[in-house]
Amino acid sequence: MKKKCLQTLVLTAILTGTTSLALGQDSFSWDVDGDGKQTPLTDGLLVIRYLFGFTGPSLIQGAVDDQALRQDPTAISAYLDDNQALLDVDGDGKAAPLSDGLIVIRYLFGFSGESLIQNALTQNASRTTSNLIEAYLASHSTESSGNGGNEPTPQSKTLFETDISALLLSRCLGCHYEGGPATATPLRYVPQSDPDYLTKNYDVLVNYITANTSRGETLLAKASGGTAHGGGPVLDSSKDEYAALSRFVDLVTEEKSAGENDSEPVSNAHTTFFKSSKLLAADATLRRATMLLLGRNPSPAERDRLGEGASQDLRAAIRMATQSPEFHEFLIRGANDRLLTDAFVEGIPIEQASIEGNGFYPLGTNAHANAQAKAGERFFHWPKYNHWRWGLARAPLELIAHIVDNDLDYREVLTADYTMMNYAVNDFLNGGAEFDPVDPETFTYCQSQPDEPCYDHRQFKPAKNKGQSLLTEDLQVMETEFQSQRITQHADFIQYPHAGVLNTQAFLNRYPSTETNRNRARARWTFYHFLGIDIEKSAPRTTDPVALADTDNPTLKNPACTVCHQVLDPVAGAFQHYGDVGYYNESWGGLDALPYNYKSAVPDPAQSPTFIDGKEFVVENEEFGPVFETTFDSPAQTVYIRVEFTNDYADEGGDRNAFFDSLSLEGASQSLTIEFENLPEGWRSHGCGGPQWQAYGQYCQGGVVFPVDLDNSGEYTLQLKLRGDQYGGDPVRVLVSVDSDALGPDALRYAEGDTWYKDMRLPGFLSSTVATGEPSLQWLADQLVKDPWFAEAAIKFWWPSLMGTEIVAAPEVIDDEQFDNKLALYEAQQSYIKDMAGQFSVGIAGGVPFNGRDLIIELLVSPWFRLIELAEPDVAANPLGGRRLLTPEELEAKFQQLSGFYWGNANDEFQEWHISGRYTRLAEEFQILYGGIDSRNVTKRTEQITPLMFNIAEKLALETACEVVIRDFQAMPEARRILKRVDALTTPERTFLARTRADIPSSAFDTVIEFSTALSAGEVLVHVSFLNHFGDENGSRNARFDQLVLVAPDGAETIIEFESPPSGTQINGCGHTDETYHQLSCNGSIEVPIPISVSGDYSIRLVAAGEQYGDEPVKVALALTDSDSGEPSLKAQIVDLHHQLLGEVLTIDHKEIAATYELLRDSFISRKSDGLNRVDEWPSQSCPNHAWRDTNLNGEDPSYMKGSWINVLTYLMTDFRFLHE
Amino acid sequence: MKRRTFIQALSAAGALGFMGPDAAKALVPNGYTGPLLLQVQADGGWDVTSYCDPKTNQPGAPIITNWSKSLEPGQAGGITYAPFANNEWFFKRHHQRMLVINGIDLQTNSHTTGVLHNWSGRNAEGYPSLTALFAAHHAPDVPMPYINFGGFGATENVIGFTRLQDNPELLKSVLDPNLNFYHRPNEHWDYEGPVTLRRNEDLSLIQRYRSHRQERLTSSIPAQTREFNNLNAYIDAVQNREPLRQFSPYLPDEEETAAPIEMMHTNLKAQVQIISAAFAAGVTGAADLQLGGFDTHDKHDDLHAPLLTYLNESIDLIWQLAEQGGYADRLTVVIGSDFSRTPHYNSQDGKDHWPIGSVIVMQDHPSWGSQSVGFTDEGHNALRVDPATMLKDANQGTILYPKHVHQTLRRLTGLENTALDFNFPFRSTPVLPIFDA
Repeated sequence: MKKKCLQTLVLTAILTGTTSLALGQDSFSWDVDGDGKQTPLTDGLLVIRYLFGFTGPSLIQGAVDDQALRQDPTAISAYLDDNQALLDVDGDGKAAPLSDGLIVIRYLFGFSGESLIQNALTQNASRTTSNLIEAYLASHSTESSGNGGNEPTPQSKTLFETDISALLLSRCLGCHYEGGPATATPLRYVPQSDPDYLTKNYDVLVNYITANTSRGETLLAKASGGTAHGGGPVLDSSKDEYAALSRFVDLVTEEKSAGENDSEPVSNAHTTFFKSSKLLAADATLRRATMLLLGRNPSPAERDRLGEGASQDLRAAIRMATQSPEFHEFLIRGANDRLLTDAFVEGIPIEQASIEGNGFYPLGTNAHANAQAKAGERFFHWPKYNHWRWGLARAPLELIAHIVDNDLDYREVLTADYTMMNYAVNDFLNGGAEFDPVDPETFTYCQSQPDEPCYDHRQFKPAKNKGQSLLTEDLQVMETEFQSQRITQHADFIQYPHAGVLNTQAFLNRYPSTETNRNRARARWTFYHFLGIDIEKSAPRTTDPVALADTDNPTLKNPACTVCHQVLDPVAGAFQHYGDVGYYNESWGGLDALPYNYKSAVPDPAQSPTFIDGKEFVVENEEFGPVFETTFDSPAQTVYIRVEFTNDYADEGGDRNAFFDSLSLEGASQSLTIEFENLPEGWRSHGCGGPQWQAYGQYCQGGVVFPVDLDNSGEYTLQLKLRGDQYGGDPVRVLVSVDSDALGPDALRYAEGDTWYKDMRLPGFLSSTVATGEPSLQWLADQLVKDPWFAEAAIKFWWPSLMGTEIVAAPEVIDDEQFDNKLALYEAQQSYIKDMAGQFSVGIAGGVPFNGRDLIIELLVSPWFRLIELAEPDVAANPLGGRRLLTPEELEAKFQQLSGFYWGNANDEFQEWHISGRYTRLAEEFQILYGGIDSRNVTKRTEQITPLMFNIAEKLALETACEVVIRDFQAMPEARRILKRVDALTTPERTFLARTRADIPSSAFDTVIEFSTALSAGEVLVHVSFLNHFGDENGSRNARFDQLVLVAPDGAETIIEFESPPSGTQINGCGHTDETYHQLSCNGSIEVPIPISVSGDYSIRLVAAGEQYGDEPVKVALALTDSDSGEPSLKAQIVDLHHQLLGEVLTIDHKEIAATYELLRDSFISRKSDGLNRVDEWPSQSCPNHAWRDTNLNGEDPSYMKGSWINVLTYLMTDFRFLHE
Repeated sequence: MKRRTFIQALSAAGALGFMGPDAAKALVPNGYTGPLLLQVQADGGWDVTSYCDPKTNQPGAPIITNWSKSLEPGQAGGITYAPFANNEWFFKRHHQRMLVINGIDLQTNSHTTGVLHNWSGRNAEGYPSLTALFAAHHAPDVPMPYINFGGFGATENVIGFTRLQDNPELLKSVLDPNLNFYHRPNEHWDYEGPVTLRRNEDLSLIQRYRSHRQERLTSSIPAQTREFNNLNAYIDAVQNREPLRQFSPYLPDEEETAAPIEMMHTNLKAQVQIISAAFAAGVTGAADLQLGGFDTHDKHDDLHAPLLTYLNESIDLIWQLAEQGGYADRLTVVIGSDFSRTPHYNSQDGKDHWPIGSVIVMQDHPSWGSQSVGFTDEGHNALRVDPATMLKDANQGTILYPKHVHQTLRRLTGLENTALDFNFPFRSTPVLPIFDA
């Protein structure tokens, strides 16, 4: 097993690069440490660090194999020093980390083609194609890496060039080109006019064929007109051209297979990692997938689609499941686990949502003013404002869900030229989407705002922001009587340059910027979410305090800082148009988003390349008097003297200003004095100020520059008379400098038209720079999605929500326990991710490129999701596989699908103050205590259950099992959710035979309920039940039973009068006996024993009446049981429950079924023994979850089985396998 | 019986006067009585030059602290503090409990790495927090061995942590899941007995079958799988939860709970109240508290002053409640942060990241109290110390790193030479005489 310390892995993986610059030494190879292998995480890491300027221990930390020939940093540096010229991979004349280094690390990771050179070639590169680059890299390769190198040309390539290319150009290119009729397929070719057409087209075809094993056959079938080829037959299968294509497919397949066998462990680690391991069967995989995605078991249709469980059928079945509406909720949850933008619906205010006097949003602001006027007060209840906030907050998550759920190109996550809007956002941002009104009865806010259109705020549609303005002189506002403002005039609405998620208000606001942060947080999270690179985590570098104390623009100049900032800052610059909270070009005037302090800052004159000398004076005097002095050396020349006030300050109480009186200059043979009210010709000024009587007044930051001719070379003494209006705690500060250039540091000063800081790197990405005037964030989005890491990042993005744990980090310390196993796991995961990213990019299993649904499905059918047990025990792999703890949201979804209701919230109850309209106990109230996240303070989910969490799970069961059981038994069997195989009267002692229910609409005894059934000789119990008691202070609904008639097969009738029932009759529930009937005055039942002497078909008639009250008639049930044990039915039901709740597929004689049955039976015996014929007897039993519902739930339990099933359900709902899937 | 509901007048620190558990109810039956550890995580990077490593402005150097324009550092015993926020009150009140370790090089200005380094002792992933080690060694079998409120909480599988939030009422509602929380005894109800959801007989029956089921699952699920690990955690959860039922009376009532303060990111005082109750009740052994907001890249002084004031009040509350709960002599408190802040202000009156930090360790009446170790210069750069004497030694000395602090804290808290210590060693790291004064 390789042993490597992998510190700073990910960032360095990007940065790491290449080779040395030897002076043409033939012996040079990428095996920098000389261990006989060339690997990205040792040799690549060394090269990139070297190119970044690392030396000493920091050069080799964690990057030298313990078998290496060169382990000493001096030896490594010397080797690379000697070969430095060879590191110039792109041939632009210099070796640089973000071009040459990037290419090398990619090469060593196995990238080829466009992925190898994307964003990594400089403008001066002489090797401009992947072919040339690969050939160069291969010329210094010790082994076969990537697709390049010094391998012989593959036979397939030769065949392609001789035979296949011509076929493509003549038969396929007509449709298969970018934007052409067949653009939805990954087979998109370039014409012969493209200088690299042979390689590009070869790569396209090979990538297609090798994506999976069936692709070759698909290609041949389509070429001959099969498999619904849109272009019909293009090759005759009997001709040579078809045979050539067939041969080509074979060659490609063989070469791929051979390559896999030869490849290094990293590249195929995942294929061997699971060798001989136990994986979930297809049906269990389908169940686990639907349970985690949707909270339910597979539907019958989905199970049917699974068929015999072939892998393509499993994919199809999961695909069918993802068509369910619940999938959208999964996508929202999963996306939020990464972006955490739901912080804005969990309490953090989204600052961009302000519409009180907000000039950026004239429509919203005026709508708010109108609503205030209508309400007649400043503060009022306005649901639409909440909906606007929520709409902005949810936009990034809704965009991602929209893209995946509609099978759009996943790259639109960053490149979409639209955003997702609900009705409120659509109104305020002039989105132009159409929404259908909904039923006001369902949405309470519609009732409180009857004059406003009624829309569901949870419905989002794609739309464009055409309602945002800029703050310019066109803006005019009018104060309202409610201390608000109405916008009466504003600049034209901008065409908001949508860049997918990147410039949604929520994304920008979730990672706010500051004047010193300068969008770096946004850049950091952009790298993390969309390239899968955690720059901050990848920089546990030793930080030299001296370097950190460096105030000379360290992020641009100091190697201790530039290692990250060289990568980070150009991306930060691409966010240049977005201010601290994310408003577009928020500066007054609307030209940029740069802060005032930067624009007005006095640049450091020492930054000027022609700087001669300078000094800052602290001017504490309020009157001219003291002389401030400095000296400098200069040759005879014209110099430019700058005098600048640097710390302006003012508030309502006063103002700090500087005043310049005179300047004297003394040289060996020259002396002169300049009065500031009379500056020499050629003087210039910055900032507000000007000459005044006997001085120059400077009232904001800035000052004057003027030329002075120095007659001789030598030392000069410069004296100044200055004074200040002191205010604000600090004394006035004046910076004086001498420069030989008229402009000097002015090159660093903000100028109108600038959109980014002059003292930062230009906006861009890696080695590319965005052109001036181009929408930089849209440009960045285009670059990001082209980067090979984008596809990998998509896998990392969805991994935690599917697998229940993060992708493992690289082990960093070789001496750690389990280092080898951790490394093997890490490499296997990275290998899988890379492989899957490749498939995602070209289209998974024949699909279109970048289909998010395909990706999620593929992750679900992978061994990572299906693992039960590794062939060889590996502690490091413990976080893998099944039975992970359900999150609160997942458990809630599972419970809701099971029960049909939520814990703590009625289905039909709309909570206006909550974004989902629902506030439940599990997913909201106990969200954190049950290990969930609030996207604010708690952002990492708990992965194992704790005593407190078990208590919550048990409380869920204890508060709801009662309602689940009662509701189910009150429903007809076909409408039940879980207890479909038994009746409440099925007990360990009795078998349920038949039941009928009926309404008794009349108050007279003129209703007869009758049904027939076959009975065996013995004793039966006839159960007569009253189901829907209702009463209030004005009346009561009761049931009255007159007579029961049993008609034997021979016609003989047994008549039972309820006022005098036979011995053994048991009456449960309150009531009384009248002269001719018995009345049940609450829900209850009467059980009448009847002996059956002859087996046969019997008819039973019940004569009943109702004391009617309320809005429904009296409802009664008539049922029969006999004295056989109900065990078979009960066990059959238990088998179902184990499957439905726990995912266990068991036979009726399994020991778990026996155990659960025994619990049921023991519960029955105990409850019967204690005479518990209700399930909610205060104070020892209660069913609180339905207490606040209108539903009339029948807590009577004459058979003791409702209470017994509640026990069983509690047992199952608190089972390990209910809480873990 | 209704628990007393009085509220003590605000203390000198302004802390809410929750008095802790009644002396007569010191512990739940068989509650934990061993050593206790509390780590307070000041998230975002606090400014120790305005706290326990005060720095004053130097001629010709950028302004390092605004307070030193007019004030000199204060002295409380052997500890020098910055006269900023309510530090004077705090250090004078608690210096005898306190050892300040200054000049710790976190070797990073990255939050992620700083948090990792400070609280695990290593700037590489893979080591648990000191809290996790402490809980795993001293209190593995209590209901909530390790409580965490959302800060750093790596466990590396030595123990699980219980996530809590600063809401005692919500916590109470699930300590005994069978209680019908909507029908708790109160002045509006005549009936004072418990109202339960299911009969205790039924729950006992379910638990009996659950136990048997767990045994069957344990024997049927392959070891070293996620399912097996999670099953073990589940079984521990079921078995160790019983004392939670008796924990509820020790938690503050709603009106006694410290109110959140608007600008604070978290209600640290409520966290203190909950943890103090858990300590007193004997249901936990260690906890991480968290207060965010210290990442003051702008308006540094304006934001740091109330944060430090609130932090000081909260630490004071820890000790008030520890004394009242009778466990002060068992308690170790460690206070720290990601790193510190630059020795100069930026253009927005903020301070950026700076890798040299401090840690404060507190116990009741320690022999090493009222002292400070470790040094920084006037520009807040770490200085080397003699590993034998802890005196400055610019030539032969060593820079203090988190591993040194953790190594000595392991000794202080009884973890040295335990199996856990061996499993997560700081190789070639001496135990410095930090606490040997």
